[in-house]
Amino acid sequence: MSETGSDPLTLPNLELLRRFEPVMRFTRGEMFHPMDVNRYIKQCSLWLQRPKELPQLLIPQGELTLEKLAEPREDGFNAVHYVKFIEPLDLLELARYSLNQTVKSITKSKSENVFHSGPGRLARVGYVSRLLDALFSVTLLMRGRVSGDTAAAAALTYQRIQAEKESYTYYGRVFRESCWLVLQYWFFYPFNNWRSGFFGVNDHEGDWEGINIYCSEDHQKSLDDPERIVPHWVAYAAHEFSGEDLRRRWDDPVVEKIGEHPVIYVGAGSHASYFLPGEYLAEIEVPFLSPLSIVEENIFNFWVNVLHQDSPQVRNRHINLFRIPFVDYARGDGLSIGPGQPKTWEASPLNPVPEWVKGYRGLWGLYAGDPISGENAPAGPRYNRDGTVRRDWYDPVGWAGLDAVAPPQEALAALECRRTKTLESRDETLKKIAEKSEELMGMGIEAASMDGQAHLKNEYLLEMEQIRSLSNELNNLRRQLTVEDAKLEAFEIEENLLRNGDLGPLRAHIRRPQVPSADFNLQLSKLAEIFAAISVGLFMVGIVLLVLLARHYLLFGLAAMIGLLIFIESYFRRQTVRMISSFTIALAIVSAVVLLFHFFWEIVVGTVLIAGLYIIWENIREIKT
Amino acid sequence: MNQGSILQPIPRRPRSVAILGSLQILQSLGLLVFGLYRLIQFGIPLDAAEQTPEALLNSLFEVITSGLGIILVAVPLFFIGFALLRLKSWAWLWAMTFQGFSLMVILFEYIRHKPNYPAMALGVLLVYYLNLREVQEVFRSRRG
Repeated sequence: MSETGSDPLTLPNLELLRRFEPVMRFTRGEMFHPMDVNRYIKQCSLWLQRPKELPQLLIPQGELTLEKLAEPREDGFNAVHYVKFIEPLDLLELARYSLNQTVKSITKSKSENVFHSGPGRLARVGYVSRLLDALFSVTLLMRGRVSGDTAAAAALTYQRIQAEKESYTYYGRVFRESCWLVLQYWFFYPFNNWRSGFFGVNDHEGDWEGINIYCSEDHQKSLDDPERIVPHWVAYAAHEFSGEDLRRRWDDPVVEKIGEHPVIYVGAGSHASYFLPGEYLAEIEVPFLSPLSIVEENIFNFWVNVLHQDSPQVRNRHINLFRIPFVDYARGDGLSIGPGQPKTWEASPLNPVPEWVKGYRGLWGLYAGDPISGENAPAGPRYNRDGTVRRDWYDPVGWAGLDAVAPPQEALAALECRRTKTLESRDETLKKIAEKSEELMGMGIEAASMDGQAHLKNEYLLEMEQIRSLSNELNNLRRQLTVEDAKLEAFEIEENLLRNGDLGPLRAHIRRPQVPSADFNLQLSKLAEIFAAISVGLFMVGIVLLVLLARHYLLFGLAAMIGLLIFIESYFRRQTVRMISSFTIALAIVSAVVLLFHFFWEIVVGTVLIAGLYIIWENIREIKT
Repeated sequence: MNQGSILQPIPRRPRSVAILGSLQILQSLGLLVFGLYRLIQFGIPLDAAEQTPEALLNSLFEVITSGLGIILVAVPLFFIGFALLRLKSWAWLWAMTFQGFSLMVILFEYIRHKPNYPAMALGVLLVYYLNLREVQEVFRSRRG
């Protein structure tokens, strides 16, 4: 679909965007909020990075405007254009800022904008994840990354911009695709400080986030009739979630609303959008560990589905050992922006699409040269980092897995269309059945006439072969007829449901629910958190001590250390029973494999013997009764 | 472990629990006989000839797998068997714990080229019975 899907003429777009504009609730301690890109760009310089070359300054800070940003540029396939928001602080400024932050966090009360972390993310996950986390931190030293003082400099610059004129901006786009009218709300943040501010995965300059509201439009109603536009679905973008998992039905209680304004709980630093307030455990997959993560997933599925060792609830809470867990704090206890809130929006429509959206395919912040891109700034709302158009821009309906879903009033027409097609197909099938049935009966009479006539043996055999084939064909047609009848019955049920306004189960489309992690129930929680923070380090120190002081006991010592760590951890998590049970089952599986290896034929013979005796016993019982 | 006497009236008991309890008692009796035999035959190996780490580790396992060690495991297993038959709430966890310990020692002995396949097979069978859904549900419901 082209940009023609955006139609600025038929509807007062700004009014429509205003009608459903969201309420955003941030977490205490959040430093960056959605802002006007014009004010951001005024603080930036434009750069060009060619492979294996030093970055080249194209437009210095103070001279860059949105118009200049949108100018066409051709610098080769691998060239990256990016803007640079701020220069890192000098040592004195950084020290002053750090001191201020520390004093603020110590002296200010809980009601002020200071972040307090809850139970640490490391206490919520196992040792392998903690070890991977340590390795992930080490990789930051080798990968390109945004330097530590950049977040502080960005915070100071943003505070200065807001001090001049406080404003909070969203960019709205009205887009028509299939039967849907999509309202897109885009938010631009000057900085993502998830890593440096909230113990998350990454830091980067510039951050584009968005949500979509999917409405139906009744063209019979007048433009000023509020019932002309009815919202049905809403989709929030958040980390690893995609497709159908992103969207919720408008009437789902999970979608909190103030009037007609959906409420978004924003992840601290990451700016991911959530439906419910809470702390979300996000899993980050390290590319080279993905085969191991698939193996772990299969073992876990075997453990749950075949050995029935954990409940489905445990399955939902399961964290893959080979993915790194991070907490995204979306508590909603900080600043609130939107209608009826302490801060309100300035709306900026993207219809028609402005040149800076269409023309600039580069990054909206520093290009840090990170090969896995976590620390590189994102591109604009229309583009991916490689300059291709984003799916949520050109196909917002398909992006949320709505392309197979019709709005309720369209659904009836679509259903009628399918019913007509099925009825036509059914008539065709009936006609074929009648024809084939008549032919088959004729062939049957013909074969019966030839039966026993020696001189017609070959013809008879050929006829019988054709009868078998035709009989199979007829059987398939009759089966098809039953399916078509069943479909027509199902259509009728669905039609009744739709006419009664029953849209079916609210969350049947969701494969992976996006829910905040449950209150974490740790025994001796402070001690458990301290242990979680130091356990991997302790284990590594233990290995070194074993190698230096008691090399002969290395294997035994390692086994004892791992056993002790697992026992302590399971005690903190109130999982001692589960740990003992899992350990014993694992030993039993190993023992069974050993027995199978040594006594394979004996076991096969024994099994066959027992099966034989059992069959004899069952048959004798049957004779007796 | 002492949540009421094991001589209280028996509630309805599934057949698999009866088999499990009986196997557990048989295992404990077998271990008791084997332990007594080893105790009479070899006594308690308390002294290690050499003071190398391997020798100390070996002697530790010799003590665990000696007659006295086996008898010390067999006696609680016998009571756990009875507790399983009487559907005591604590019996399942203790049975799993002892089977885990017993399989660990058996596997370690296997690595040391002293395999005990019958004990291994019995251990696997007992863990299988302990983890049957029917058995788990009986004891889970009694744990509350």
